[in-house]
Formats: sequence, C-alpha cells, structure tokens
Amino acid sequence: MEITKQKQSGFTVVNLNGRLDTTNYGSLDKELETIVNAGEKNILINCSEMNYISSSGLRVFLIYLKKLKAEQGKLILCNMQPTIKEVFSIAGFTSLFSIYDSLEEALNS
Amino acid sequence: MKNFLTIPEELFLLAVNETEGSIQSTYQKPFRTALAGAILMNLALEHRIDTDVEKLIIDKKEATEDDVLNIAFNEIKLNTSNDQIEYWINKLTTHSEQYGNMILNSLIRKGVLKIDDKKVLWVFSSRKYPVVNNTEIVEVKARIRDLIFSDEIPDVQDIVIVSMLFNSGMLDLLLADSEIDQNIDRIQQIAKMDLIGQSIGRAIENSTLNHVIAEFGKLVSGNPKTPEEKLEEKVQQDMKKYRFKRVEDLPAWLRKGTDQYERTLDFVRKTGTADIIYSAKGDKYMIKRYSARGPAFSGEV
Repeated sequence: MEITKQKQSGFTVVNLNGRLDTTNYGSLDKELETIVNAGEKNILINCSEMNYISSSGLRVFLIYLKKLKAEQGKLILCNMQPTIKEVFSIAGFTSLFSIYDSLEEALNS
Repeated sequence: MKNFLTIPEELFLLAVNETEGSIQSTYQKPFRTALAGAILMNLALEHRIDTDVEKLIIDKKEATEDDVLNIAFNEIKLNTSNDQIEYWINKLTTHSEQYGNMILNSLIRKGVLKIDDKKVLWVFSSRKYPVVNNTEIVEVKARIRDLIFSDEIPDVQDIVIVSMLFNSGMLDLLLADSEIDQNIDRIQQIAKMDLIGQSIGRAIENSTLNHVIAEFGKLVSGNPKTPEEKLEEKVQQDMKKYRFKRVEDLPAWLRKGTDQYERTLDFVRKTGTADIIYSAKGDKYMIKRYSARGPAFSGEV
C-alpha cells in the first residue's frame, strides 16, 4: 500500500493506494499517529485507489475515529470503491463514519 | 497495556453465577461456538490472524502468551488450506471442552475463581467455582452495559464481546429482557462491527441445533405448540409486559394481519422458537436467547 498526504482546506488528506490488510495496517497506524501527535485534528482519508480492506484495516479507522472525536476533531472518508463501501456497510461502519462520494464534497463538509 | 484476562476468559466469567459459583450455559452449543469465536477474536486482536468478510488470513506467526490461544493458533497454522472463518469456528468448537478446562485452570491460577467441592446426597459431588475476586466480572459487565446504553464509539475489545454475546444469543448473561428489547438497534449496530462475530452468528444459524431441539420437543411433548400458537403466546406476553391496551399498539412485526407479521411467523417456523426479537434498523430477526440456563461446567481442573 502506498500512503501519501497533503494539507487541503483545513484537513490533512491521506491518500491510500492499494490493499489495506495485515501486511500494512501498521504503516497506516503509524502515519495517522504521527498526524495526530502533530496536533492535527481533522483527517480526511481519500480511498479512491484503495481496492481491498481487511478487519485490521477497519480497526485502524475505528481507533482513530474514536481518538479524534475525543479531541473534538474528525476523521472522514471519501471516494470509496463499491467493494470497499460494501465491506463498510457489512461491518456497520457506514453509520459511524461520514463518507463522501468525492474529495470536493468531503472538503466542503 | 496488555489485558489481565483474555477474551475467552472474559466470556467464561460472564457465564459465572456470582452467588452460586456455578457456570451457566457452558454445555450448550452456542456457548461453545462463542468460545471458539472468542479465541479467533483474541488472535485477531493480537495480530496473529486477520479476516475479511469471509476469509481468515495468518498474520504474525509467533506464539502468544496464552496457552489456549496457542493451541488453536497452531492448528490454524498447520491447516492453511481451509481459510473460511466459519470453518474455523466450527472446527475450534469441537475442542471447546478442552479449552473450557484450560480457561478454568487459568482463571483459578490468576486468582479470579477457586474450586469448591461439595458432597451432595452422600454420593454426588457438586463442583462449584466461587468467585474469589469479582472485580473483573463487575468491570466487564459495567463496561459493556455502559457502552450499550450510550452512543459512544466502542473500543475494539468491547465490540468483540458484544458481537460474541449477541451473535451467540447470550445477551441475557448481561442484560435484562426488557433492556435487550429497548436497545436492540444499538446492540446490533455494535455487534455488526466484528466480522468474526458475524460468522459466529452464521455458524450457529447454520447448525441444526435448533431444528433438532424443535423436533425433540415435538417427540417428548404429546401436544406440541404450532408456530402460530407460539407466536400468539409471545404477542400476549409482550402486550402484558409493555402494558399495551390495544393490539394496534403492537409493533408491525407482532401485529396480526400485517405482511411483517407473516415474515415473523416464517421465522418462528424456521427456528422453532418465538423467543425472538426484530431489529427494525437492521431489518433482521434474531433468536433472543439460546442460553437456557444449563448445568454447571463439568470440567476437571
């Protein structure tokens, strides 16, 4: 998985490319930890190039949603491929996360 | 920080009757299935396995610090050709008696339970497991109840416990009947969040246990109740419980004449029980309670 990030409209946008699974959830965890420790409270995950997610990946999202909410921040998601959205739906995560269809929509949220 | 108790141990403690020292429900298939699921969930939290919607994937190969988890993990590592979560839940369920004995030993070693042998009627020995220190039980129960009654984002470990209890029909170890009714949407929301937990539910649904129980009930009873009679009995009980004065006050799934009622009746026919609940939010029927109180755990320590 390739992880890149940029600042945009008050968010730290994290772009995920590839599979998020047992081999690399730790990298995303570290990346998000670095961002949160730097005092950033609004994170937007751009999932447009993410094509697979396992439970360990879902757990990373959940942990940081909870962390950021406790600090009055937010973690939002956008651009999910249908298969990823289906996994989120099966796991009931669609009721927890704000998920937007496009990056622009998410940035304007 | 590592938890003092593993998830299978927390599940076992939830089944302990604190006043009697007996361990409830452990003979029943749903408890055994939940125990197998708890082991997988603990392995997942310790990054030994990972899962997606269907499959189980091996993550780190090193042993854990817990013997029960290691026995199960070794079996999984030796048989990588089977990667379906449900397969592994069913497979580990067959060893649940061995796991149960090991967990009891561990809880005694950790100073949470002790053994108390009492002779009953000169001959039969009644083995009890009085709680030495109930801090752990109180803490787990309070933590999970608080979560269910709030709209907090749950911790991963708590999702696992709720999912396990919900999907194995054992929420009554933690909540009163009316509390389950009133919070079913929230419970279902949390329970869904764990993919292994969902597989526990499927494994139990797919087992023939309920069918066998229903058939056995017909054999031993001279006058078995029909699904219609069972459902009518539940409707009457709920009207009384919630003090509904008119049939119109009932929710659609319990109101005769609605399409939804017919769906309810189909579910009762399929499962053989009317001890059920419906989550409108998830549009899902569930068996409320598989765990009729069973005899105390018979394991040797």
